[in-house]
Amino acid sequence: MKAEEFVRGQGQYLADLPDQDCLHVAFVRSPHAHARVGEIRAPESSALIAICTGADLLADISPFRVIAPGHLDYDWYPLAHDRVLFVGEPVAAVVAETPYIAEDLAAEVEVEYDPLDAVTTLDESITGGTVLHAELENNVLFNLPVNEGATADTFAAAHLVVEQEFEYPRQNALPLETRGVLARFDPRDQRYTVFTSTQMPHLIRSALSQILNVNEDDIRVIKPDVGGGFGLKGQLFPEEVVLPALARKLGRPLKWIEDRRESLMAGGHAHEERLHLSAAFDADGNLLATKSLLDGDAGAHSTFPFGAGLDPLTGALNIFGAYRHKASEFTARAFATNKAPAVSYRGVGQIQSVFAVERLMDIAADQLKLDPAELRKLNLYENSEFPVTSPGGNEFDTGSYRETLEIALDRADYTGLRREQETAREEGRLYGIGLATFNEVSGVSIFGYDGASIRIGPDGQVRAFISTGSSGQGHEKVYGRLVAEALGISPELVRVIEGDTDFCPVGAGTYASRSMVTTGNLLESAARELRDKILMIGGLLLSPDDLIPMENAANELRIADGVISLVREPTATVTFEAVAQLAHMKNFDFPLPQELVEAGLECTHYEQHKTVYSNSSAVAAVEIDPDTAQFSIRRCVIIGDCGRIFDSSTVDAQLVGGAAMGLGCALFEHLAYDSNGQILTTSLLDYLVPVSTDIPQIEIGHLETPSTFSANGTKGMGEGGTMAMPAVLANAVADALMDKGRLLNKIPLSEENIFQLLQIS
Amino acid sequence: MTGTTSIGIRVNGEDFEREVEDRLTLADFLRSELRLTGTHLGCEQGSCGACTVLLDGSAIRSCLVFASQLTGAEVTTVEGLANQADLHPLQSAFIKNDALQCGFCTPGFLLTAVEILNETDHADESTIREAISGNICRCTGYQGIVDAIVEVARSGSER
Ligand code: FES
Ligand code: FES
Repeated sequence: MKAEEFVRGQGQYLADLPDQDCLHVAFVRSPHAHARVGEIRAPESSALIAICTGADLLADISPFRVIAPGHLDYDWYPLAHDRVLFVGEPVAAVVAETPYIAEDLAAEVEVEYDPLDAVTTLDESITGGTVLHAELENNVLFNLPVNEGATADTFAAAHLVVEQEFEYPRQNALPLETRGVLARFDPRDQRYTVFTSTQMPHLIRSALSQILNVNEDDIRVIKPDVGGGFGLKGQLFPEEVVLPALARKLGRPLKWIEDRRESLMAGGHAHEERLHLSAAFDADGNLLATKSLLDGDAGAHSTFPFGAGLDPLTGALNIFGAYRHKASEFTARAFATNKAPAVSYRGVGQIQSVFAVERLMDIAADQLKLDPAELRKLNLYENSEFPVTSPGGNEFDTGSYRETLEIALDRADYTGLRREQETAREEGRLYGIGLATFNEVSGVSIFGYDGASIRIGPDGQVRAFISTGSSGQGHEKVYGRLVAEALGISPELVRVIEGDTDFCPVGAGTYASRSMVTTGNLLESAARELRDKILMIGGLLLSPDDLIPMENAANELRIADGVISLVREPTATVTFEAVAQLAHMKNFDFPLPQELVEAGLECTHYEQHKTVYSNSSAVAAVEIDPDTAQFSIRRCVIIGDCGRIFDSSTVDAQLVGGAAMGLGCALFEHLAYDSNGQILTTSLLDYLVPVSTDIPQIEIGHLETPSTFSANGTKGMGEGGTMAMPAVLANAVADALMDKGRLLNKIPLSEENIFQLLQIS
Repeated sequence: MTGTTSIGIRVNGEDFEREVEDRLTLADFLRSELRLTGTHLGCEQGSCGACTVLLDGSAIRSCLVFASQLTGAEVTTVEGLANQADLHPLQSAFIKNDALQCGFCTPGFLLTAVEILNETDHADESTIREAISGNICRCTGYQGIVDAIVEVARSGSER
């Protein structure tokens, strides 16, 4: 069991892999946000085994283009080509016997830089005085307008239009385990083996095959235990290219482990976005139309596979998704700046849009003189309205949008909280209540399909190979049980194998809370097919003269706890193990009919899953201390609905852990740059994440409205808790600030930002 | 390059003699010299607690001390908590209370918790929350970790 391995300290994370024969790599990184790279001089040292610059690497790789819909592409190189575009960009790799020596030598490499003007804000990027990518005309990396002009008439005729701009900061998912790569090249079979701390081994393999110019089959990507990903480990990074390329060149296995400073500086930023939203209402408070402009700060590059548009596009596609309205138009754009490239981070795109939309709903409620709860209830889809096609063109499967809100209000004792607020206000205290309610995209298959394969060995041991990969989501436990239940055997017989491209079926990996929806479905259907086969063979053993056809197997035979029996004659039994043995060989007295031999006890299913929508509602009450501008959370309730729940403790763990992460996003997580593009937050002393004493009591609850789009009824559940927090806390803080709160339009809800609002007279 | 020192150190009850580079951290010594990879590195800046081990009974951050200074010292790592078959009560309580997901922070929390239980007789929830606030977990939201330690503190079954 994984958990037992982990508590014993026997997990095998990237840094723990055997490395006795490895050399170690350290990277020379740019100290400039934008500069031309001149001569690179290696230190004179016998300890320097090799140095590789961007120019050296050109002999071994092809430039790479991130081809994602709506993106403007240009050539990407893992080591800076002729210019560096952000602080921390790798310029050269240094190889030595130990990591300590490699780092010493990297520090001694001299690089000539000719600094250029840095683009550090969205406005500078949009103005386009300095263009970062020579192949492009401007700094637009992604631009997608949808339904342009479709809402103009509705807006013109509306009773009320509310409009506001919002800002969401740059953040880092900060998995506790940093990234790392260990690469080997075997000259005998000319194959690469790349161990990397990733969420998507197959996509990494695809990218590497293009960049290294070899067949996919000549690369084996293996994901060891991963110490947290949260989206960050869901893309290709430069080091994942440099290590295998150099390992081949040097004929030695190489290892590199990112340190925290590198990670905060260059290892994947996320979330930074500006949102300009407008909403039109009629006099009763019905939402009529919405218009949104979402601009993401993509940093220096589009990253593979999702590209620069990931955050703004994901947010825009489902913006105002929980609220009934007739017309919507939006534009999602992403701009290049001299900052580290943006990647995914839990809550992708939606953490920002939910914050902005929920703030706007409160602003509208205020102007319509409606209670924020009433305005939401009026506009949220009712359970009976599903399936719904949204004005943005999304098909929503099922949901309990309004119901979760009602339950959350009830659980938090909303009326009681309002009474408490009245008392507090009479005493001059700043007490506020916030609401947030939203739906969440999950199970998305942006990049191809997923696969799951089940193989039963001659001794009845079951192996399930899946294309998604765990980084703490408890896959082994949940999927082992799922397969065992579908087969009718003990979970002890099942082993789940993931994260190895030599064994696992091709698939997109773990992101967007998709695993249970995709892999869960696939495993269940594959296991059912195998179960019927097992039943047929069992039937043959029990009653040799009469072969029960596949379609009748499930009706005429039973399997429970690994024992198979005929429904009509339950006392005669045969074991699952006996069937497994017979299916494989060795019973010459009892030959299987050809149709049963051919298929073996093996089954692989693939599918491209349709997007499903979870939903959540949250209520929070806060009190601000006017002297310190700090606030404390008095109450926080989150009710989620992720469809059918297969394993409630895993779902609870995702919701609570997600909410804690969302709390960090709401309160302190902020990667800061100065106006020259120097990053200011490179340690855990500057980039703060929540610790045990920061977390309030978070009360959670679930509804189970099964999805009609997934065979097993599940929906994603990894991100609702995260997305809820910035929105619900921002609304609570704004409410506490009363009139001044109207202007609350940015995250984080730091003392500094709250203090500024308190100063407004 | 720095000099080297020979040290004698006791780790998880076993004595080791080694010649180490003066700048080698205890964490790297444990991980690369002794192949005890259960001690994890989350920051190497002293601020995440993943590398916590017991040094002469006190929980310390092994990324911040040098192995060369530790002659005569006694160190306990996560590998030293369980007997072959039996888990330490804290280890069992962590599993039972969903105190881990990715498991990367777990060894550090376990050793911090051992110290808490050794030092305080009846640690309550708020003492425990405070005592583990130097360790970061990104997955769990801490509730399961707190519950696990509270459970063991209550049962008084710590060794
Ligand atoms: S690795 Fe030692 S405190 Fe983080
Ligand atoms: S379990 Fe992943 S960091 Fe704590």
